[in-house]
Amino acid sequence: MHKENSFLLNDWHPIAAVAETVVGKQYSTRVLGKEIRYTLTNDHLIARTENSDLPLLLTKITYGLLWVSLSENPRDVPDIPEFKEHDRRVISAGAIRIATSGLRVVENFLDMAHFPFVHTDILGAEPLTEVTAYDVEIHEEVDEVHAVNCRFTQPKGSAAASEPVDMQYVYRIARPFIAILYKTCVVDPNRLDVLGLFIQPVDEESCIAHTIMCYLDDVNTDKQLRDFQQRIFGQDLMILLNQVPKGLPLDPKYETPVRADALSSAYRRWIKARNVTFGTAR
Amino acid sequence: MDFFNQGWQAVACSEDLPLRHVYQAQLLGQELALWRDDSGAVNAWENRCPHRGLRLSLGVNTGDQLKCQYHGWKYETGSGRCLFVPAHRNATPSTACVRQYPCVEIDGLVFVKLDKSDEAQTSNDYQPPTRLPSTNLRSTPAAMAADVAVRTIMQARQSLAPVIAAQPDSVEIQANGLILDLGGTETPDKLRLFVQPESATTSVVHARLYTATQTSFARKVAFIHVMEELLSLAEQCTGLSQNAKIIATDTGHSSAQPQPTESDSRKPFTCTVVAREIETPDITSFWLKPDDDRALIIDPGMHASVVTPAGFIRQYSVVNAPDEDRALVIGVKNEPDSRGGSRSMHLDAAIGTKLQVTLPANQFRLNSDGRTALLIAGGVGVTPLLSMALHLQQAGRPYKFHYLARSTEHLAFAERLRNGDISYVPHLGLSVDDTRQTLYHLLQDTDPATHDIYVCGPQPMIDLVISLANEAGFPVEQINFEYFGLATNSSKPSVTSGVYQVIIKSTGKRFSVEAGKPLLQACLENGVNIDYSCEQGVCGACITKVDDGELVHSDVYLSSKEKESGKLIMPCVSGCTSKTLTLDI
Repeated sequence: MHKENSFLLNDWHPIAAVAETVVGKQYSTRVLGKEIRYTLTNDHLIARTENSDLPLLLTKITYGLLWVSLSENPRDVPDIPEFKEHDRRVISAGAIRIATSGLRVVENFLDMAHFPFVHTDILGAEPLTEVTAYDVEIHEEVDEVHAVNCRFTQPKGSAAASEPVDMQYVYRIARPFIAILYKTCVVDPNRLDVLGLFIQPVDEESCIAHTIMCYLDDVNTDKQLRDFQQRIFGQDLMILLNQVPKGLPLDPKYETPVRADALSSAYRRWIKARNVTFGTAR
Repeated sequence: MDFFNQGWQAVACSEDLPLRHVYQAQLLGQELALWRDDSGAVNAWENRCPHRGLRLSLGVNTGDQLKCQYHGWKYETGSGRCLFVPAHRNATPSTACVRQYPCVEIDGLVFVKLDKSDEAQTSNDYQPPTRLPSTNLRSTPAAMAADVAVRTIMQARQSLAPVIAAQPDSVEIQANGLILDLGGTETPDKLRLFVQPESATTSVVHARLYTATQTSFARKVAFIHVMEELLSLAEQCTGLSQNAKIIATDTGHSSAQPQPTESDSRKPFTCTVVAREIETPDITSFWLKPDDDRALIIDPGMHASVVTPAGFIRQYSVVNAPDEDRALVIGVKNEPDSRGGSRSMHLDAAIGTKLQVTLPANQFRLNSDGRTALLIAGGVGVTPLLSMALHLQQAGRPYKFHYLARSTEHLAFAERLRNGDISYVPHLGLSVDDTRQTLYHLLQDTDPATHDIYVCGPQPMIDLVISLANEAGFPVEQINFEYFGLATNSSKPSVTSGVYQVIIKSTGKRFSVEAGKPLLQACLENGVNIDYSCEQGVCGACITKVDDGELVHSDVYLSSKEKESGKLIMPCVSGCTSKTLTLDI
């Protein structure tokens, strides 16, 4: 049995996109309710908590992001091999601060049923609202939850799409605050585009979403890709700010799911089993 | 006990709830979504969708339902029941139900009470202070507790004198809890103020003025000025102007309490097959009469969910006319590649056979917006449309009915169509191209401003109608459809085929589960209490340990490893194939 929230403490958390950080400048932010100061040098990230007597925090630069850990011995960040493929473009869609639990944000990211209602005429359109059965897999060796065989008809599934696409999705829940989406690549049907949602848990009911695209796209400019992603996120924001309670309910009877929510149910169950309470409704 | 001592609190003025609006209010920290249906009735609901917690005040009031903006779930006026889940169009909708509060509209104001304990106490003892005509003045928000607002107004009552055309020193005020009545010795006018306790630190003051003279603009403005000055002064003095944290969830009820349950109409009942008739070479109709002789309420487009003799749960549209309330009439197509449900009906449902039937909420309903219904049926998809046509015909409402079938021989329910005086246009033996041409011209020649489309049949035909209707300028909400024969594993799965015995390990209790009955239901009926919620095999609330038995898993909650272990079951949707099942509880 995990100690309460040790699953989060013994891990890495993103704090900023490399591309958006000015070298030499001092910044401050929060992770899991703790104040953190950091500076990016030419080759290192230096970070410490408010208490300058304590040793420096462990840091890491990967997947286009700056990471810190509050532990001295965190397990490694999840492996996302696509970031090593040189023909992919890695683009940050920006850091978006949201006044709700990061767990609610991840759950929204894992959800297909809202596409026609929240991302109307982009990721879905009435009356094509059916969520067909998909499979949830538990990968014990890496302690992850995946959903495979997900599909949804999308009027404009990506910035590169010019006509409706039957989008195929694979969702990968790698950490309570990290989810990765693999989706049909409009440019190369044999490969998948990768969209990573890396949440910085600021406090129990506030977070910063760092979204990183790892795409095969030779048509759109960085700005076009970023604009597309930000437009989608803006639509989700209206939902996320109006979900009550802000914490994710883990009691299976508090919110009533249907079969389309099988992944969300598995996510809640997985969080509960790891004794994560930070960001949950209690 | 009088009206106000029963806990009724004013939460809005009648004019805050215009047609098709959803109004957000708060009472004692509880957020409310208030909305009026097209019949005028007001709903006071917890401002939280029971599916994923979105505020319902963001939703759309469609006249008889509230549609949540997150996933398009629809909830019924009056009951709060979920009627439609777009992600699973053809499945039984979720058991989710919005928490409702008792609500009455009297004398231009809407009253709600959070405590349901004495719901029987009706509100008919409300007494206005006088019989003079009355009108609402503007409601005023105040950043102070309700009792502070009451005291503030009591002390400054003289400043309200101009509003009731009284001399300042003759103003009398009477407090009854959070209600204040003002009058004066030389004026017949009365002013009643209702202080709504929004939260511990905020309130709203609603005002109703009773006067024989027409309320002049000057009086209304005077009231606004007096109230704003009075309350803002007090806010500064009390220093309570910071808003309390908004809590939209029902603080009075812990999440451990079960959600409200669906009404009895959705409970299963037993029917006997009293007649069957061959309609076409592949469609047979069945008459199912409830054993308890209940009168059926027929809603055109509705389904009956039937447990077939082999134990499959199948949904069939009913073709009843509105006055046929004694037996359900369903049409069943014998699909050659059917997994057994329809075959079982054709082969085994003889006259006298008993079947378990449920009437789920209708998801394919006739709109009541006054537009002409254009009914388009393909093959066995005629069933729900036939019921609609019979209703429209009897109600004298206009409709147009087009029926596509392979040949005259394949036109089902010919006699029913004739007897019901239904006029329809048959389209027989059309090729794929001809079908497209026919539907294209039909939809191009139909005016979207005056028609709603209802289509049922094979999926390719429905998809064609949807795209052609879009082309012809029909908005999405005017295209109503229902797939027929769609293989969807998102519907409530069938349970198990045979009878089996359940043994409860701890007590040794035994009982049998009849074919098709959910294990969960059997347990509850036999006094074995198992926690449950979604009843769709998703939420995990009913997870139960198994000691022994060959399990058939139909849930999406357990991992494949857990399913293989045979030691856990979700009894709401899963069952067993062995003769006995021992539950480790």
